[in-house]
Amino acid sequence: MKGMRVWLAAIITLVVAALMIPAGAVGAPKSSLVVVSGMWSPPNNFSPINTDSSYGYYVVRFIFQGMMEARLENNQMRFSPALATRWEASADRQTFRFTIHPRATWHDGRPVTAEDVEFTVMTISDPKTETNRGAEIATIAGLTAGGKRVADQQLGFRILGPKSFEVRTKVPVDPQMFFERFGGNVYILPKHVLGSVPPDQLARHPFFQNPTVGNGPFKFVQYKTDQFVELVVNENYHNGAPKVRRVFVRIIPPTTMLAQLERQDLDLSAGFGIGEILIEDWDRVKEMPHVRPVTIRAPGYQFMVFNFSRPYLEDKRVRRAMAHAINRPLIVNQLLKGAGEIAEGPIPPANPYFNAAVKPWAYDTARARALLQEAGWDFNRTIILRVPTGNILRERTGDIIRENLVAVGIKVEIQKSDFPTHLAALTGKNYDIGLIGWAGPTDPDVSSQFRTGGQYNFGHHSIARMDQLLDEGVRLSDPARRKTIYNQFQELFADELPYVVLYYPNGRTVIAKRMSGVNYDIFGLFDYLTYNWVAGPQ
Amino acid sequence: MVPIFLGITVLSYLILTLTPGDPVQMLISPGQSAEDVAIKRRAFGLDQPVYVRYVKWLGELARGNLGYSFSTGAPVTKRVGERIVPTLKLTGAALLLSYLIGIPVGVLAAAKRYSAIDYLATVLTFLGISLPTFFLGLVGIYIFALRLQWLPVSGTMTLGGDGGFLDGLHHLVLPASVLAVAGAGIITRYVRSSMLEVMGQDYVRTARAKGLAEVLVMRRHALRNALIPVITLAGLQIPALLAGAVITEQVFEWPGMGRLTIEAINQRDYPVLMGITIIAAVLVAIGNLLADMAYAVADPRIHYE
Amino acid sequence: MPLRIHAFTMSDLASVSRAVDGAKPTRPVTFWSLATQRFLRHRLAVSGLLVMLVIAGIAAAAIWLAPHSPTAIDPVAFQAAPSATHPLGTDSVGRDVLSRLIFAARVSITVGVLAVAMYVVIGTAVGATAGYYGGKMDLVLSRIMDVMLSFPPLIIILFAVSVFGRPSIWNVILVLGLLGWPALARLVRGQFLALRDLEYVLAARANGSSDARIVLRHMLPNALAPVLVAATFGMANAILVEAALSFLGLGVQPPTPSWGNMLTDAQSLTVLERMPWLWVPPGFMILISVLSINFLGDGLRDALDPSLRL
Repeated sequence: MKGMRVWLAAIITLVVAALMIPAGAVGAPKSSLVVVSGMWSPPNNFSPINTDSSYGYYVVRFIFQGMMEARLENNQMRFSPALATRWEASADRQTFRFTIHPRATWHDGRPVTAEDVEFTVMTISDPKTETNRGAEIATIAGLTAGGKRVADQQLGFRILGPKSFEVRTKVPVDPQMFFERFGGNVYILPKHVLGSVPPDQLARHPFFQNPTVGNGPFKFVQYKTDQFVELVVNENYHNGAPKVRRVFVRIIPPTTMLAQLERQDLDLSAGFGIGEILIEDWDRVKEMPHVRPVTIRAPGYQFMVFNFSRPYLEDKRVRRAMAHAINRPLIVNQLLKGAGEIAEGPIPPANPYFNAAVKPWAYDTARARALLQEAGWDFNRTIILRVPTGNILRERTGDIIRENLVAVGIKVEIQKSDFPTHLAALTGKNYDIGLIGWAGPTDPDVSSQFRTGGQYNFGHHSIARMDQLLDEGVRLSDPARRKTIYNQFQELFADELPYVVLYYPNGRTVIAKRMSGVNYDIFGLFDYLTYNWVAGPQ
Repeated sequence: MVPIFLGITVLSYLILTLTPGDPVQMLISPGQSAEDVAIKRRAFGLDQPVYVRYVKWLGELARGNLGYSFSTGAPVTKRVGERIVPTLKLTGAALLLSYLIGIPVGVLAAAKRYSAIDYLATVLTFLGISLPTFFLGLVGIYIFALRLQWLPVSGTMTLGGDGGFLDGLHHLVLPASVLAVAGAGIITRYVRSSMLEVMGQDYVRTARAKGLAEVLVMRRHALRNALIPVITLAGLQIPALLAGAVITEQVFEWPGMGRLTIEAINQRDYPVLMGITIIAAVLVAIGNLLADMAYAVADPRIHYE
Repeated sequence: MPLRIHAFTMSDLASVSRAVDGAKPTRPVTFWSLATQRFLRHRLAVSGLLVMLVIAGIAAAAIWLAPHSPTAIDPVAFQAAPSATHPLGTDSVGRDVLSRLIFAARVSITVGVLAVAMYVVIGTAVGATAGYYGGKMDLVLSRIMDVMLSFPPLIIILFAVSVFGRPSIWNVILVLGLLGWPALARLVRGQFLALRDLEYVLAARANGSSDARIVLRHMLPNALAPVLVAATFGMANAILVEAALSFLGLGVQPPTPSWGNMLTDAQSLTVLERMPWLWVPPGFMILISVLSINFLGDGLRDALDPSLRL
C-alpha cells in the first residue's frame, strides 16, 4: 500500500499548492476609478430595441441613450437631458419638438443626428423588425396601435435640421406620457452602422452582441459570457465625462451576493427585481461597515389572479372572501420583514396616479366565511393554486395563502411549475387561482392587463365598466382629468377584484459607502445618470 | 448510427414542442405590443406546423447551420461553442480530482475493510451526497472564501486581470472541488465494492496461495479486474464532461454548458436546446465506444462478435 | 454522530445475533438459512436495517409523534430558533421543523426506496440481457440506452409534467425510475460482458443449464456489487432530486414536506451560518438513512456471496 500513500500525498500537496497561491491575485481591482455592479442573470443581448429583459436594458442604458431620462421624484415625473437638450410640446399636445445636444457623438466620433432618430423610428416601426419598442412609439401618426407602419400613411416624423426634429401624434396626448415613452424608452440606433442591414436580419446582427458604437456615457469593452460586462468611460460624453473610468456589471446569483459584498468585490447591486439582497441576508448586510443598505419603494407587485372562465369564481363575493382570508399583514410583516406595502390595485402607491382613498380589504376570516356562505360556495370543491418557481418569496407566499384559504374552508391544492409552464397554464385558462408578479407602470394605462381581451389579461375577465374607464383614460390628454378617471378605475378594481394584489415589496439594494452620486428611484431603481457616479478609495 | 441520430433529433423536436411553454412569451417585456409579439413568432418560424419546422431545421443542419438562438440572436454554434472550454476545464478537473481521490481511497477501504479508515471513508462519502450541491457550494464559499479568504468567491478570472494560468487555477479550485466531492464518493464506493468482490474470486485466492505479496496481489490481480465498473462509469461521464454541472456553475458564476442548458430551458430556446442535444448524442456514442474499448484492455476475456 | 449510533447499536446487537447463531444448528442448513445467518452476523447491516425500520415506524406514526401540524403556520415565529414550543425551530414560513421532519420521512423514504427499486429492476434486467446475449441484442438495447442518455434530463422531466397532468408521488417514482435505469444498465452490461466467458459460466452452459438459470444463479450474484452501490447512491440522489422535481411541478407539492424540499430553505449564507436548524435536521436524516441502506446492502451482498468470508 506504499504506492497508494505516495499517491495520496501527491494529491494533497497539489491541492494545498493551489490553495496557497497568494491572495493578492484575488478580487476586483479596488480602485476609486472602478465600480462593480451586480445583477442576478446574464443579459440576452445588447440590442437597444430588442433585448428582452431588464438585465439587458440595465447594461444597454450605460451604452445607449434616448432623448431624455425620465424619473419619478416626489410623485412627480421629472425629465433630465440625455441626447436631447431641449424638448417641447405644442399647445394642442399633438406636436413635439426635440433638439439634440450639439456635441452628442457616437463612440466612433460621428455626430448623433436627427437622421439617426428617424432611422430608429423607421426600424422599430418596420413590420419585419423584431423589437419590443413598438408600443413606445405607437402614438405617432401613421402607425398602427402596435407601432407599425401602414403602407399609404404619412409617418408623423419630420427632420428640421441635422440636430432637430419634430414628431406628430395621431391625436392629442398627455405630454408627460409622450415624453416618458418616446423620450425615455426609445434608445437611438447608429444609422451609419446598421443602416444597410435588412430589418429581418437585424435581430441576428453581431453588433448586438458587441455594441461598440453607442452614444452613452460608457463604451462597451467586452462581455465575458455569464460572468461580467466590462464598460469604459466615454471621454467625449456630451454631458461631461463620467468620473468613474471603468464599470464592471457582474452576474452574481442571489446566494453569493452577500459573500461578494463581504469580500468588497462588489460596490452596488443593480436594483429592484434584477439585483437585490436575499431577505435572509438583509440583517447581515446592515451589519457591514462598508456598505449602505437601501430599501426603496418600488413599482413591482405580486398578485393572485382569478380565472374568470371558471363559473365558481365569477361571483365577486367569492373573490372578496379570498381577499379577506389571505393574511397579507402577516406576509408583509413576517415574510418580507416589514419591507413592503399592501394596496388593493395595480397602480403603485409611489405613483402619482395612486388613489390613496381605496383601502385594502382587511384580514378578516369571519367576513370571508360569511361571504363564501352568501355566495353559495361549494366547500367540497378543491381549487388549484398555481405557483411558478424562481421567486422564493412568492413560493413561500403560496404556502401561506393555501393555509389561509384552508382556514376559511376552501380546499386548495398547490401546483408548482417552472415559469414557462406556469405562463402557458395562465394563458391557456388551465388553473383556478395563480400567483404572478408585474411591474406597475409610471403612466397609469393598464389596458393590456385589464381590458377585455388584453394581451396580459391572465384572468380572462371582461368587465364592461372597466373597459370604458380604461379607454377613457387613454383617450384623454389632460392629466387632471385622467387622474379622476384612474381614481374611479381603482375604486372599481377593488370592488371587482380581478386580482388580489398581495404586496408591493420594497427593493433591497446596497451601495458601497465609498460611492456617492448614486441615486435610486422608483424605476429600479437605479438612477441612470451614471455619469454622476463618484467612487472613493476602498 | 445515422438512423439513431435522426431518431434522437425527431424525438427531441417532438418532446420540445409538446413541453408546455411558449418561447415567444418568455421574451416579452411588459407593455410589448401584440404586433411586436406576432412578428417575433413569425421570425422564429413558430407560426408553422412542427413537421415543417423540423424539416427546415434538418435542412439547415445538413448545411452545418444549427440556427440562431431565440433569446440572444447569436448563432447556436457560437453560444454552445464558447462554453466548451470552460466546461471542460471545470468538469475535467473535477473528474480528475474525483478519480485521484476515489481510486486510492476505495482500494484502501477495501484492503482495510471494516476498519476505522473504512468507516470514516464511508461516512464521508455519504456526507458528500446527503446535502444538495448548492449547499455544498455555499459551505465551500463560506469556509474558503469568507473565513479563510484563500480563494475567490466565484468567477473564472480576476476582474480587469488578464486571466493568466495561475489566476485561472485559483478560481478553479473551489468549484472543481465541490463538484468532485460527490464524484469521489461514488468512485470510492464502486472501487471498494468491486475490489471486495474480486478479492473473493478464485484467481485472487490462488495468487495469494502462491505466496504473492499482498501489494502485488492487489495491484496485479485485484485492482485491474475491479476497474470494470469504474470504466463504465468513466464512459458514462464523458457526455457529462460537456453537459456541465448546472448548480455548481450557477453558484460559482462559471460560464459552462449546464448553465446554458438551464437558461435555454427556462426560455424555451429550441434551437439552442436542439444543438445541445445533438452534441450530447455524439458524446454519448463516443463515451460508449471508449468504454467498450477500455473493457477489452482491462479484461482480455471481453471480446466482441 | 452517525458513528456513535452505530457503535451503540453494534454492541447491542452482538448479543442478539449470537443468540440467533446459537439457535441455528438445530435446523437443516440451506442456502437461505446460511445467508440469513451470515447477514445477522453483519452488525452494521443489522443496525442499518433497524434504523430503517425505526424511520419507517416514525413515518407511519407521524400523526401521533409530531408535536404540530406540518403545515400550520406560527404567525409570530418565522425562522425562529429552537424553543420549547418548537424543539427544532421553525422554517421560513413559520412551520414547526420537527413536525415537518417527521412527516417528511413518509415522502422521502417512499420515493427513495421505490424509485431506486424501480430502476434497479429495469436497469439490471436490460443490462443483463444486453451483456449476456451480446451481438444484435446488445446493439439494440445499447442504442436505446444511448437515446435515453442523450436528452438533458430536465427536458424529459418537463415533458413528463405535461404528460402526467396532476402531480403525485407516483409520478416522481416513475420519472426517477425512467431516468435512472440506462446508466445502471450500462454498468450491469459491463459486468456481464466480463463474466460471460468465465469458466463456470461456460461450464454451466455446457451442462445445458437454461439461460435464465445461468444469469440468475451464476452471473447476477457476481455482478451485484456495482448494482448495490448504484442503489445506495441512487437513494440519496432520489431523496434530493425529489425536491427539485416538486419544484418543477412533478411529485409532492407544497406544503407537503419532504427532506429534500426542506433543504431548499437553506439557500443563503446567513442560513448556513446562523440558522443550522433549517438544514442540519433534514441533512442528517438523509445521511443516516442512506448510510443505513448502504450497510444493509453490504450485508446483503456478503450474505448472498458464498465466496466471501467475513
